[in-house]
Amino acid sequence: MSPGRSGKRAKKAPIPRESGASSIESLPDGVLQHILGFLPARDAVRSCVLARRWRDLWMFATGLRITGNGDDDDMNELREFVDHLLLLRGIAPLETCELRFTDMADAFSEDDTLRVNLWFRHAVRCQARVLRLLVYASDYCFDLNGLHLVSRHLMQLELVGVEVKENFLNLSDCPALEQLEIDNCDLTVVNKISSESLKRLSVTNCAFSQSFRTSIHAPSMVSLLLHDNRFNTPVLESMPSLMDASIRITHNDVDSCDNCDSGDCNICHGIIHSNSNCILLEGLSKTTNLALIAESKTFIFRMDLKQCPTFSKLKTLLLSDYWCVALDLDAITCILKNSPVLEKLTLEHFLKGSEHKMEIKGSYIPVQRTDAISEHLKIVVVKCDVVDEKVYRVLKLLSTFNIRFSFE
Amino acid sequence: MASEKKVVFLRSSDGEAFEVSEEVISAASVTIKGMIDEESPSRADTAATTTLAIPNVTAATLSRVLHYVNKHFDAAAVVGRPDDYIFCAPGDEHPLARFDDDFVDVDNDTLIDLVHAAEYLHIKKLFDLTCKAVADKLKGRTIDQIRETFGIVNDYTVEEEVEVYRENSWAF
Repeated sequence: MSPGRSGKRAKKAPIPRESGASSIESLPDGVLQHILGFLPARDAVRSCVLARRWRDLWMFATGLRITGNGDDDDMNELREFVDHLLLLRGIAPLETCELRFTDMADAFSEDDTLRVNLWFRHAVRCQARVLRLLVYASDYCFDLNGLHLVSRHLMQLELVGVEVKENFLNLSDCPALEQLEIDNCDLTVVNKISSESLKRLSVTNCAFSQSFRTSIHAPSMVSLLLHDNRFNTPVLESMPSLMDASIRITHNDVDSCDNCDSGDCNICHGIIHSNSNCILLEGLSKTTNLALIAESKTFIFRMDLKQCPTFSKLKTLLLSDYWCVALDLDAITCILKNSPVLEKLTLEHFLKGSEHKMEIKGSYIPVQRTDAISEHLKIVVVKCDVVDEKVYRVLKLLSTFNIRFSFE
Repeated sequence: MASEKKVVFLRSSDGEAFEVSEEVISAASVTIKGMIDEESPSRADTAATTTLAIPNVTAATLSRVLHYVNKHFDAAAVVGRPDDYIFCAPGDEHPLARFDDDFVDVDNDTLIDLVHAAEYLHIKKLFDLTCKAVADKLKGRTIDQIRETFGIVNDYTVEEEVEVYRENSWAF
């Protein structure tokens, strides 16, 4: 960018200003290129007519943001535009590339699918560090072929509305990849997601397989969010660096079984015990902050708790649901006994969407030291609609651990 | 815990000194971290606090920058998590999103000064935030409006301008 840093010329301060340095023209080319990278691609290119200095700046914009709605007319125009743009800008390095298709009424044609795939691959070649492919359609997933990405530069990948065709989502050829966000994607054929470098993973509103469990191998993971996914909950492999994790189950078809509530019947065994270890909790056992939230009937947490690992670093824990974990006495006992440094426990027991009416706060009074639970436990909060029999039993259980409550 | 309390002073181009936690500013600014690292051998055995000159940034801008830095980089002050939920779930607003919006809701000159400062101090998050805010001011405006808003003088000759439009007709 050496010839570019010509902003210092401060050639033609057009409007006199008190400070003299505040005009946009005072910014070096590199900064203007960064600014242009935040504009939709068309606006960025159009800046070429502003003044001489701006003529070629857009070609080196550090971001490329392409948006469309997938309509035939729109796509024809967009293809024409993007083809020009990509040919002219060549493989100048990109920081961010975003391909966003919103309000899609129909699926892409085969040709358009191929073309968008090509743009995606081109962005990888331009050394994009942040890559987003976002397809918002009500009833369609974009067919992304070949997600075997090879890039030393890619740090963050975001996919929305994409069907992953690979059985093995292997991201090991992206050694810098730290963040992966997958929303509303079809992962039904993916049986393994693997990345040595990944630190943050969020998988939301996705469909996993109904016949097997996807395993997630990400030994560097620091924070993990699995929310509102469907079908079989993935198996987490060891994640020794994991700090924060939140698992929320809202759909009825997660690990569903028509026969039982507990995962104990033969039908369930077929799914669950294909892996003899815990599904989730083993992988989550090194977290500092953990939330297990179930808004629909599911047995996955309770079942996992039967093989409860030791949560050796767990400091804050939220158990939230209406059905199973939060008020399951065995589950609470098990977690409390296996969380030696727990500081804060929150139990939520109210229907989704309702504002809880009651909040009961308790604290641990070590009258007699019990070795049963963490001596560090400072705060226990129970949030509920009503103190019914279940809540009462939980409060009673907690009081046996020397937790005293105050009512507000 | 003495190390946590360490502070440095930053002196703006117009001579005003600002106190900031060394830990916080080092986490935020690559440039200042570099300055501190360079200084540290000489001050290891003295109790004196360091004052660093920031010759390119005025007091008005520097105080804004430090406001941002303290909000975003002071681990003790970051109340990043709404209640007990560990993440901001998709769709949830980042807890500092409102702060950021307000922070860049300033006049053009102030904003450009912030871009300069963020670039010079090498504070990537602030640089992105302010550059994006400038882009938002360009977005959806006509060429004439942009020239007017940011005082850009069209120095093309008529012929050149015609030529540039023709060359890039695919984008118009």
